[in-house]
Amino acid sequence: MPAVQLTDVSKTYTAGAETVEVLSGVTLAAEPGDAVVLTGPSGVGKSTLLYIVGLLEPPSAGRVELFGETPWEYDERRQAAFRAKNVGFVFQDHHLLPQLTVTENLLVPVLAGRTVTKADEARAAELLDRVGLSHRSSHRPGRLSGGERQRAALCRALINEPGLLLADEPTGNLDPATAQTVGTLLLDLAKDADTTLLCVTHSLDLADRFPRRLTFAGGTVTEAKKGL
Amino acid sequence: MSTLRLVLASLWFYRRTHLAALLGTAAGAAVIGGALIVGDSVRASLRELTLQRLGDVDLALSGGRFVTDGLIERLADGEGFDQDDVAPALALRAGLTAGEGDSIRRVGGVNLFGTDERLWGLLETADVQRPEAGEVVLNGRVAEGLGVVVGDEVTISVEIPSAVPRGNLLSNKDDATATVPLTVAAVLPDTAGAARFDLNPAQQIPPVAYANLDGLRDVLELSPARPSRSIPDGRTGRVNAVFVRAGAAADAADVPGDDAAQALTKTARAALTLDDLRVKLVRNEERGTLSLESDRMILEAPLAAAAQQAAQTAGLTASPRYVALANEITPVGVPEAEIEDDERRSAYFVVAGVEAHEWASGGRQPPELNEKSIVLNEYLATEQLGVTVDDKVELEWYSVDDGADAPERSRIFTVSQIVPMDGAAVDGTLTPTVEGITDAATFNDWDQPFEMDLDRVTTADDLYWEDYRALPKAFLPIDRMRELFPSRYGSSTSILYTAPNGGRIEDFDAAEERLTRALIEQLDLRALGLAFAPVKAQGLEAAAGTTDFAGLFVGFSLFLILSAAILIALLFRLGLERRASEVGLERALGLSPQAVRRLHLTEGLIVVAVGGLVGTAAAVGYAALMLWGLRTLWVGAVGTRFLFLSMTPASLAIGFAISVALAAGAVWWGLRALRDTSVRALLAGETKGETEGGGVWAQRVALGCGAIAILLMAASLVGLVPNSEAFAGFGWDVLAFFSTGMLLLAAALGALGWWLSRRPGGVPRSGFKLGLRNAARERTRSVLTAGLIACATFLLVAVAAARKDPSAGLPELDSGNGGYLLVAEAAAPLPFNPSTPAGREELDLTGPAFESIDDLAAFRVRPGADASCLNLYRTGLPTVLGVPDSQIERGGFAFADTPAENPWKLLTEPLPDANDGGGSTRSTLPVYPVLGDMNTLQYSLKLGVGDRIAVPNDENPTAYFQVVGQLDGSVFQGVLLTGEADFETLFPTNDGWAYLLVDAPVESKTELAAALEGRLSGYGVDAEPVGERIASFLAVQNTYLSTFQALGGLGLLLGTLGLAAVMLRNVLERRSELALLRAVGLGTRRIAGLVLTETALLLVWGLASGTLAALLALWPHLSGRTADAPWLGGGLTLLAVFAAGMLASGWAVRAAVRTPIVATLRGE
Repeated sequence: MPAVQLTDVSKTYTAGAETVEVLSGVTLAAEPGDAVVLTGPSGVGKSTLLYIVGLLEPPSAGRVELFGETPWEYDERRQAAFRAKNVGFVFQDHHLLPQLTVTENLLVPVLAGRTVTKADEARAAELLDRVGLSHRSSHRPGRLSGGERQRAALCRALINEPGLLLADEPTGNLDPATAQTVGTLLLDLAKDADTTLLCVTHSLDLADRFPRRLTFAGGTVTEAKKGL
Repeated sequence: MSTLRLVLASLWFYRRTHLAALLGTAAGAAVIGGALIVGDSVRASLRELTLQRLGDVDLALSGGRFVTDGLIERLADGEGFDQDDVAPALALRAGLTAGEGDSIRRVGGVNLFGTDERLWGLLETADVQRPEAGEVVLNGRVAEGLGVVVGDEVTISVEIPSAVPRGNLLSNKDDATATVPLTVAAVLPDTAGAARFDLNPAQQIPPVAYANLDGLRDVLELSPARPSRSIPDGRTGRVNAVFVRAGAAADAADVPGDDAAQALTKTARAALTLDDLRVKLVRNEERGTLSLESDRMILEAPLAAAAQQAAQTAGLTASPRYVALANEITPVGVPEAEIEDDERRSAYFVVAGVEAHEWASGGRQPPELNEKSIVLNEYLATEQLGVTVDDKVELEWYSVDDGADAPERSRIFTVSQIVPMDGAAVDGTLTPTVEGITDAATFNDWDQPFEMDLDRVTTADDLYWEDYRALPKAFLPIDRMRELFPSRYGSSTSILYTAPNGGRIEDFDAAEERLTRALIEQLDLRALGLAFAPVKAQGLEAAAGTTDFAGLFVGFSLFLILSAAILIALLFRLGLERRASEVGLERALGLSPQAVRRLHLTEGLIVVAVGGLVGTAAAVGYAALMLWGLRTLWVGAVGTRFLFLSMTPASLAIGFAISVALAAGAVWWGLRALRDTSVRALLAGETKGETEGGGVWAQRVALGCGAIAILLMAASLVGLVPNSEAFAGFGWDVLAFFSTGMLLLAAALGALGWWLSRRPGGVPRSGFKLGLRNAARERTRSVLTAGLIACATFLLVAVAAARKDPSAGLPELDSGNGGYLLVAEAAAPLPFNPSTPAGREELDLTGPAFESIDDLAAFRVRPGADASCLNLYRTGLPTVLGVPDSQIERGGFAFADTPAENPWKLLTEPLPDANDGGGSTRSTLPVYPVLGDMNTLQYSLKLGVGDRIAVPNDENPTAYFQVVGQLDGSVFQGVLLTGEADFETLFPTNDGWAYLLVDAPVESKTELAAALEGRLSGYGVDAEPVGERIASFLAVQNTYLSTFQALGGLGLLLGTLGLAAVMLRNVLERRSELALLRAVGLGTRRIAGLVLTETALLLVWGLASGTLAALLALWPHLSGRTADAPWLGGGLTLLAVFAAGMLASGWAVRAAVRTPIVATLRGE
């Protein structure tokens, strides 16, 4: 059973009398543990596809199956629960809550489904240790560097051990060295957790490190051969 | 980590943002809680005033009936009372004058108490000594009104109590009042309870004076006297008021209530004697009968009823009798000359109405009588008239009640029987004793009750008087007698008691004892004014207040509260917009929209709850400030400085709950902005923003609300909106005003939203267009800001425009003054009707000063509570005026919601009886029509057209008044008006005329008022221009408006704060944009101009829409003659608001342009 199965997914936007089709009959599948990168020029719908998969933006047409389920058919509450359990997000901007410490930020996704336990706190500490942020655990995001914030955001995405990790330009705001580190962590952590990783990026360096690459153009997606 | 931790961390992190919303909530809570505390304080103050006013007086008997000193002694001897617990007193209405000639000063309507040490001991007298004989103690109001100090002399005019009702033909009207010079011994300070002693609750200090009880009783011939030559039978001392301290008889913790009053009334019943009722049993030992007769001449209905019922208990038979004076009787068909020459006539004799069986008791067969039959005694028929059975005679008489004021009446009868001068025909008890008449030796000795024509008296009349005195000469069946000689005072002059079947009473002593006991047992003491009332408990109940200050303040703070709610919504929304990406992240991380909303709602609720708590604390200060205002600046609204701060936990809780609920609603509304925004947009820091659809919605609001408002205005202008109460004391007209205002405001703000939604395209070629486009960017925010200003402006302008100037109203028939120039009130009712030439002659209202009178309406008065807006207490039945027929015919005055060409005529239309809703034993009670002033009916009595009020009270109604019409802004505030005929039926003992309205040319105002007061000084008449009387009522209304203007000012302060917050936020959001403009070369001034244009646009829109909405909503009022809007002051206030708004905005811009350009562009 594929972790992600998209069939003929389309997305159109309406602005006044004008209709813009961003995605047109996209079909793709990703197996559990796959690490897939989506590339393409700006505005072709890469992020839109990511948000459709992440249940943050509904498709206009087509079928979205995640782990054999069709969560877009669920009501909002069930959808949110599904997202909390199965999907982790890493954004271009870290979106850490400024009022919380790093550890607390990591634990926010846990709150979506239940109360935080000691085990959750231990896992947060473990993740922070894994990305080298143990010493920053009680700091607020305002005191962290850009790379540190993104690493913390990566940990937060993995706190619920989701089956699917979605990353939207995770290194877009970082300098090359830091981007390299964050990219490595992203792939390593996803692999360690046996999580399906779907990443959108403009960074060819990052894209080249993914075993599978999809290219966007004209509203559709095509499989690119490694090395091309 | 927990949700709570997240909420708390957010609260702390965004504390500055939250502080603004918190303060907004605090302001709302302070205003609502403060209003409720003001209500509590007024109630508590009125309660305290009641306790102070009454001192130790718990129960009182003051029904106007004079009881004997003996009764007081017997009451004081009762169980549970000390001698000084029961205080006899005289409670009178008096007019006081001081000075002479042109410097004479008068105070009318003074509560004059005749007091001895017992009443003085019950009152809070602040150590002032009680008055000795020849002295008077005044309260500050009277002393000030008279301009007197201790040692000065004042003259007191009071009505002399008359045993025979003043309105009766046989009463003496010439010596109706007494004038007593007294020396001012002391002036009571306002803080002394005795200074405000009055059984009618009112917060204003009434005019009060105290004289020595014995001294006053001497003057009024009420003091006890032993038999002497001048007073052959001696005299029992009497008082008309008894004040009682429940003392040991009552539980000290409780204020004695109905139970205590009933217990004391029961004690009083046991202690009553016939003398207390001014009745006596007269023996006729020859016939073996007893007769009950009254000093009043006519037995009052409740007394007569009890007297008849008592017969059964005493094992006797009762027969009522009704006698009256006839002027003359002459034979019909006999030439005039013969009548004169042979003196075949009789004058000034008594006609008696008796029951048929009374004839039987005399051993003779009752005659066959029809409505034209009359029975004459032998003397009259044979010695005087020379008539026999079947001859016709003409009888002439004056009306028993109207007396010589009305034309003589006459009727022709057929003589059906001539009775010999024996048996029942010569029963001396047929005619009750009337001092000065029945005891006179000759006709010449009569104490003439009216101008008698003694030439009518014949020699035979004189001889008859010598032998038989007032023994009736003619007889009619009693029903016929009552029909021809009706009296409002009763329908029996005596009750004859015989043994059963007309037999003789053998043991008079036993019969008298049985009868007395049974009679007193049967008496309806309440109807006779002999029931004690729990005056303190009633006063405390009335202190619950007629004017709901809490409701009033909350009502007028509505726009202020609305401003606070808008401010909270605005600030919360601004705060949330700043945190849009955070909300997006929470959604992205798997929190459901509901969970996210709950999270932020919890955060918001904590903020508003804390704000509510802060506001609740501030409410106490706010209320203290308002009370200070009511005691000082706005004292005209409440009429007392005795207001203190008092609060109940419930008020604080309600204020907190309402404000928090409102603020929570505002928070919820703020959260709605995030509801339809996509997570992706939220993550990008965007909220839903302004939709295209919003413009259409705004257009619909503008057009829809505008159309409904115009319809409402039109309905108000053409009088379709009724003035009756809609609910909770609010009239439909008031609701229409608020609804029109709200709708117009909504329309104006909708129009702004609509205009801004059109997003003017093209290159912005001017600062104005750029400013407009900036305002359009955050349309909702802009509309709310303008709305904030508009709400406060609406309140300010509406309050200012609602002011009225009564002096603008000259006498005009269809206005509140009814075309009358002067209103005069008498402390003692005038015994002659001043609206008739004869009455004016009797009252000496003749001479040049009175020639200017075009019309004069004289009203009968039944004193009651003051139900005008000058009284804050809840009142029972207010003062009732009996409207003369001439006024009903004349019509005039402004009416509200009373569809009739001449609404006064509604007073003459009978109404069907009502089912008895009270404790009366009757199944239906009569209903009488009344008119009242709209303000009095709506706000004091809570009545509308069609509603009823029980007479005399809800507990024991004997009749109902039904409101048939409402006067609008009239001089009749605080009273009810009923037709004179109905008045006489309901209040037969309220004789004379005590309320006058005078129509005369305006230029005669001063001279005529002085002349009226001068000539009628014996009756304590106070005259003043009708305009001034109405002005005193309007002063209250205008003072309230000043209070609410201050609230409007607070609203504007909130509005300005909101505007500053919004502009600061706008500038902060656009910091980089402004920095860019600076970077490309726009000067600081250009940038400031750009931002200020936006501010000016919102300010002007808010001010203009608030002003226009208020003026349009008040259009029906403004088109009236008495509107007195302070245009200049109002305009300056609005200008000040504009300046304050611009300054606030300028401050925000200053902050923005001070930020370094590069740092701002880098987003640092």
